[in-house]
Amino acid sequence: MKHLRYKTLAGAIQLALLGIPTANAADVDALERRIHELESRLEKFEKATAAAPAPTAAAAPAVNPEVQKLTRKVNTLERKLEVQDEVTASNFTKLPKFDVGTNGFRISSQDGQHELRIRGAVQADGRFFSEDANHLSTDRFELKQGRVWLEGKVFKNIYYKIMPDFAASGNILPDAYLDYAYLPEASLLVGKFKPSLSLERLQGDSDGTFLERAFPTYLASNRDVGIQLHGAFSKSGFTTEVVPGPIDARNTFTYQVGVMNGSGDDGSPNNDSKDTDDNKEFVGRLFAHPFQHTGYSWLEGFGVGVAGTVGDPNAQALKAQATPIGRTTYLDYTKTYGITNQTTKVTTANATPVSNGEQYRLYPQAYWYAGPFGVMAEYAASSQTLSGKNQANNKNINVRQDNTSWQVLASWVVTGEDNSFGAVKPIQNFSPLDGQWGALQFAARWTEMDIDKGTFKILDPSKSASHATAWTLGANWYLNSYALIRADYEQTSFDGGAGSIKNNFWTGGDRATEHVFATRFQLSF
Amino acid sequence: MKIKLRQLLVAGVFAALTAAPAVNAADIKLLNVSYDPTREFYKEYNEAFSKYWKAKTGDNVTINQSHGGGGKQARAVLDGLEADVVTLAIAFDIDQLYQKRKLIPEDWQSQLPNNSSPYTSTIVYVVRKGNPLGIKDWNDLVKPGVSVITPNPKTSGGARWNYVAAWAYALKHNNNSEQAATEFVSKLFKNTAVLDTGARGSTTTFAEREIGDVLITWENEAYLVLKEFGADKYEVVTPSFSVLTEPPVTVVEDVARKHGTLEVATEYLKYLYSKEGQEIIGKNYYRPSDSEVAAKFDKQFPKLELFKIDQLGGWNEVQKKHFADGGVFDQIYGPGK
Repeated sequence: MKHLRYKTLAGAIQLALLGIPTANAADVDALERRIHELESRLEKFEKATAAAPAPTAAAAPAVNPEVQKLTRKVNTLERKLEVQDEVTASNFTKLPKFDVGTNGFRISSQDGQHELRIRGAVQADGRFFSEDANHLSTDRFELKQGRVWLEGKVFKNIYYKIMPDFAASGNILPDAYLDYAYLPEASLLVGKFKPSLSLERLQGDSDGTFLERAFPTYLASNRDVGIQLHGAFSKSGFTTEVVPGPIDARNTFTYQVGVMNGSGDDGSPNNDSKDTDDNKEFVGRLFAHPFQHTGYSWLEGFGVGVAGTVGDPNAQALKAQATPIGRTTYLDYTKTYGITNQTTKVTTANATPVSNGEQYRLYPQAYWYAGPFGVMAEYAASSQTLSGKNQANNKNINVRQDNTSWQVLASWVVTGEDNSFGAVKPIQNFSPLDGQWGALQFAARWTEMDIDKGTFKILDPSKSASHATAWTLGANWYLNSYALIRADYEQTSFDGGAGSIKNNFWTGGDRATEHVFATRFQLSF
Repeated sequence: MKIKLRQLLVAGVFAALTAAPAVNAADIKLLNVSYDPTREFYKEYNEAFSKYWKAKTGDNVTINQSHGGGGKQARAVLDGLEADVVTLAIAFDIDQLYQKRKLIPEDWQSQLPNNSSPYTSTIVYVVRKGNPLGIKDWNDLVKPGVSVITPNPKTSGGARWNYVAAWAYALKHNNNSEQAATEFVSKLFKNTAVLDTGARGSTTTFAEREIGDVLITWENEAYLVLKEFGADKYEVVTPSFSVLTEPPVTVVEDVARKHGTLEVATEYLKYLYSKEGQEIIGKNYYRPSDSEVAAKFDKQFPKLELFKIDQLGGWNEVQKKHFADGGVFDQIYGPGK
């Protein structure tokens, strides 16, 4: 207490002195007098305090038993809450995680070993043909895709995908597979999936540059049922990513080898996935990003590879070939050549051919994505034997059909986002009031399909063309990472048939050039 | 120059030879997943074993510890916690590692002496100094108004021992009537103020937060309370009758093989049975299994009648009957009960 008083006094003096820096001598005298006076009073106070009897320690007040009881109760309740918090926190670590946002909709276990991702895609198209005086094509709106699917993993490395398409007819279950990816270097894919052949076919259905893929795609099977061993390797020192499913566009080197039922050019098995013969198709693909992790940023997105199939189908049905964007048939295997009996004047058409015997395909392929620019090129050679029958004389007709096709496409994301084999991710989502417009991509493509001339020993040249060339211009407006509006214009010209048709007879000439403008509104998450 | 080269060569060879052991010394890490109150014991034991192993092999071994309620710890290992060894409170919890994931061999308990239990212990009480409520035995704990602290048998191995000791006491004093025993443990848990998830949590509740009149706990934990919180504040009460606890240990072979630590993990547990290991066990108030060392520490452990879990049919049966979902414990304890 005494110490405190001295401190207070000294502080007061200090304050007083600081407050009068310019004080005169009279003021200083007055202050000194005042200090002496205060000192004298302090001494008297101290003496009086020392003389006074020391206060006795007050007896500790007895704590009320009720208060004690309440204190115990409060302490107990507090502790119970702590324990409950501990239990709750522990339980929370076992609850699944829900994630809804730009990465999609997913539920996963806390340890990350189990995951369910809910995905969906809607593609609403419009196709409008110009210079189509004979109305050979139909202007139309159509629902191209209506898919809701589940994908994810169980027990850390068994991946799955189950994808029905409610807008499809026939094959309403395009993908249903499981992929045991125990090691990134060797995973086993089983079920129904895209065979590892055409690069553009393997690209995600919502990720392509145009509404529809180019000609080479349609010489590969759309889907097939089988088993595939696949794996990936990275440059030394880098981690190899586990990429489940039929396509891996992330790792440095990838391979796929598979055995499939074989579903023919552009074929896709129906839901029961029945095969009609014992012969299987062997599929193999190698693909590399040779400049990945080299530091040459403009070359890192370059990928090159080759794929092929070998099969021996027995009476495999053949699917018609159609133009890329217009989706109008220009090669129809049901429209066979007819021979007219000059006596009876009865025309007997050849039987619809099937693919019989040795079949192979070869697909060199490459892409290059650098900054906003992207290029993709693919060549396809498909060889098979068409077996038909001249029904007039009951003689078999076997024709070796060697079809070839190629395409080159280039694209540019003018708003500066990175171009990629996957979907473009806008830097800014579409929000016009905020001055944000999403991402805009322009693209151009040239693609050709050459059908073996021998085909027309069986097919009617008035109904099918032997060569098609299509060029396409397209624009893609990515509103956000889910929503997209596409607009494509494509012009397809034909050689070698399907020309003038008069009274059901081919009078020569080629099918008229197809002009189509198409749009798509797409939501894919 | 010729001499200089030879000297350099000799020096180089010498340096390589002398450096070789240091270069070859391996740095080994083990994870010991244990139950709640063994923290202090294993801290001391791990240091001793590291020194022993270094002297024996030249290798550096670091043992990381994980502690919690025994049941919870076993579930963590089953869920993927990569323990090289487990040292848990009851054999049932360890057995789950075989039953559910085959992480250990079926005969794990026969791989080390004494059913793989390097020490035993028992269950006693801690009360506040002077024992104001005069608590002496189990029947004192079920009296109205006595506030008991014990962990939750669903998550803690120690709590299951506590429960079993009370149950066996009730059987003994009620002509083996299970109905009477059920009523007894029901009353006991009605008197429980807080159910912590592990034994150490209960110690905190009782000694640090000063909640409750009596703490039912491991013998070693009881003496730790005196040491940590003061013998002037608490005292240990040994009941007339309790359970002989046999906390077992085993190598999680599946994990240890994967880590390449099978040999050191096995030696780590074997060392528990050595004189040095048993000394540390005794110093930490666990009852050594080695008779010579046990005799040395005999005075610190009061005499009482101890029963073995086998008398109740073994842990598998006890677990199924009392602690499985819908078992006796669920019937006597829960919301609204």
